[in-house]
Amino acid sequence: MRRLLLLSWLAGAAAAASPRVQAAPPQVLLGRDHEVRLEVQGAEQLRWRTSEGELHQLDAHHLVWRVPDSGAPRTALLLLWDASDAPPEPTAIRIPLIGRTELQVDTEPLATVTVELAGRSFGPRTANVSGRVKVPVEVPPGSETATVHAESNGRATERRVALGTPPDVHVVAALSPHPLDPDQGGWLMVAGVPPLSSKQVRLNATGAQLQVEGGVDPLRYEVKPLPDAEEVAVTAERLGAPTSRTMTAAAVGVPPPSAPCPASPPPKVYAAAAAGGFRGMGAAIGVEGALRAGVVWGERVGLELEVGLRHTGLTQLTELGTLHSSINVLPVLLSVRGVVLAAEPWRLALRAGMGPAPYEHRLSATFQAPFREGGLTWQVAGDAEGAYRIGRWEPFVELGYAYSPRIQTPQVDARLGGPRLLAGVRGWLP
Amino acid sequence: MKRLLLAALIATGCGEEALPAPQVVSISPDSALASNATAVSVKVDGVLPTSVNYDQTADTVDPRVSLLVGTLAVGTGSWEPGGTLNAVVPSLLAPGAYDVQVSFADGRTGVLSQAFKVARGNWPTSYTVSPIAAQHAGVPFTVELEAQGPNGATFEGNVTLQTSAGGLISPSLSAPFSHGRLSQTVTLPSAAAGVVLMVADLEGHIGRSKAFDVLP
Repeated sequence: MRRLLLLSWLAGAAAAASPRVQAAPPQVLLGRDHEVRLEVQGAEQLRWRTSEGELHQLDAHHLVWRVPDSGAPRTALLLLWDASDAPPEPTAIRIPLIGRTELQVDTEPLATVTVELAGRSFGPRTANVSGRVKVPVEVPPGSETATVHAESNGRATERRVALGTPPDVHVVAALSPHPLDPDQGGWLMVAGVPPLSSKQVRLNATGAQLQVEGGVDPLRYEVKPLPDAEEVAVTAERLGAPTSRTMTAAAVGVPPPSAPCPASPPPKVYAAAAAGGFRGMGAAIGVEGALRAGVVWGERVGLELEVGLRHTGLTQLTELGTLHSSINVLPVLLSVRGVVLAAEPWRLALRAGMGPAPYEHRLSATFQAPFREGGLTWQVAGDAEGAYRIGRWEPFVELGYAYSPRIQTPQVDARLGGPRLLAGVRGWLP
Repeated sequence: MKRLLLAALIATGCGEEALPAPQVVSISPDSALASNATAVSVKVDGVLPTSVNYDQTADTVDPRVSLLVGTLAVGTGSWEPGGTLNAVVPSLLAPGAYDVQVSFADGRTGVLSQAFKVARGNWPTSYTVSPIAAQHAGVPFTVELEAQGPNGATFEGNVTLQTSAGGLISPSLSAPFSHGRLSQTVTLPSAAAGVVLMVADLEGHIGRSKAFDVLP
């Protein structure tokens, strides 16, 4: 919930026509968060360029940015614009990537150690008899030092330690449209971390002339291709930061009749396990478990295959002795699953499926031989599922109803259909 | 789980299964003398007509069992927990081999062929019946029976009971003799004068009482 409250509208530099972008979560803890969802308004032909990671468009208004798994604390820079605008008004999104590490501290034996870093306190941890201790810390981008407080035998010490993080300086540049019109030309957009002014950027263009149009990040330049130029290439870097150098290029020519469709993200695959219980008619109350595998397209709709096991039993005392009946059902369901509400990290999904359900009925008694019979029925199930995403894992609870025809033989009469409640966990494959 | 999957596969092809016929596993002892009533134990493997209703949280089990040795019905008529049926085979079978048959109330039947063998017996030559005073119809009374002859003292069999008037008598088959003697309780339902109680075994050896009256 706290992360939900942290949702904020991150917008570009006051340009009214800029795409309006909402990012959730607004910052990333490396190793824990694996994706950031972007909701975009105000763009007909959305285009983008990123400093790192992969950005996939889910639909006209939603994108997902796949976060790199590791690395130093830094700021990811996403530049988005509407290619149907002339000139385009880009929006720059800066997402802090917070690193996790253990800070090695050498101090007095058995000292109590805390670390102050970027306004947060980590610890306390107690040093060992050699005076060594490791304090887990979270390092936001741009943090160069931390303050170590140690207290031992009533004596407090404080010292600053360098974190050794690399400079958080990046530049992203993009040309639009693709290809550039030989007569009308196009535009170059440049944004930086930290934000750039036109005086802080060095550009080197081949095949075109550049003319600055605005001096506030994200910067925009008019691009006029040189006569007979077949391609325009531009390198951009922050002055004094050669590691920030980036390059962009675009062909010069007649644009194709229609803009290519943005690439859809690959389907995602998961496996899940769940357990719970159900209530049928009369004494048909039992437990059930399920193993599932599914594939999801566009983060919304998917197919799921489930192999379940439902069990119920009834023990009665007769004049001859104890009689025990048990029923096991093995439903194999093919389901359609759709996410109807997503507010990171929460999701609400609906699921409906059906399939064959072989069953087995066993009779055992203290007074006669055991007996086993089987048959084939079918099952229809519908569930509402609430899930909470934690990295690749997704614990969920689902409430639903499973219907199956009456199981009826000369030896048993039972109706196992009814409400059911399951809890489980889903694991998304990389 | 493996067995469940196997069952599921079987079930997919076969559907529901009917209850199996009872199996008569053994009879012990498997032989007797024709002149002896013999207590036997019949081991049966089977599932009684059983039904479980989950909706009503109820079950029904029909315990009725028919046990035949040859064509002779023996036993209590009910299932006994564990499937071992105890019965006494009376001395009404001629020497030979007989099927042992068990039937449940739903008609399922199992047979162990030629499983019970009867050998020639050591029969008495005759029987004596103690004097009987006048009795009342419908009121049980006891008569003393004694087997006679060289084998009389060891006779352990049964005899049939009947009256000279051809009227009803209960029971019509006596309990087994013990060491050649038997105190048998009988009931005559109808009044008659000069009634003679007659006993006879399988071989035709008989005994008669003196005449007595049965008062209303």
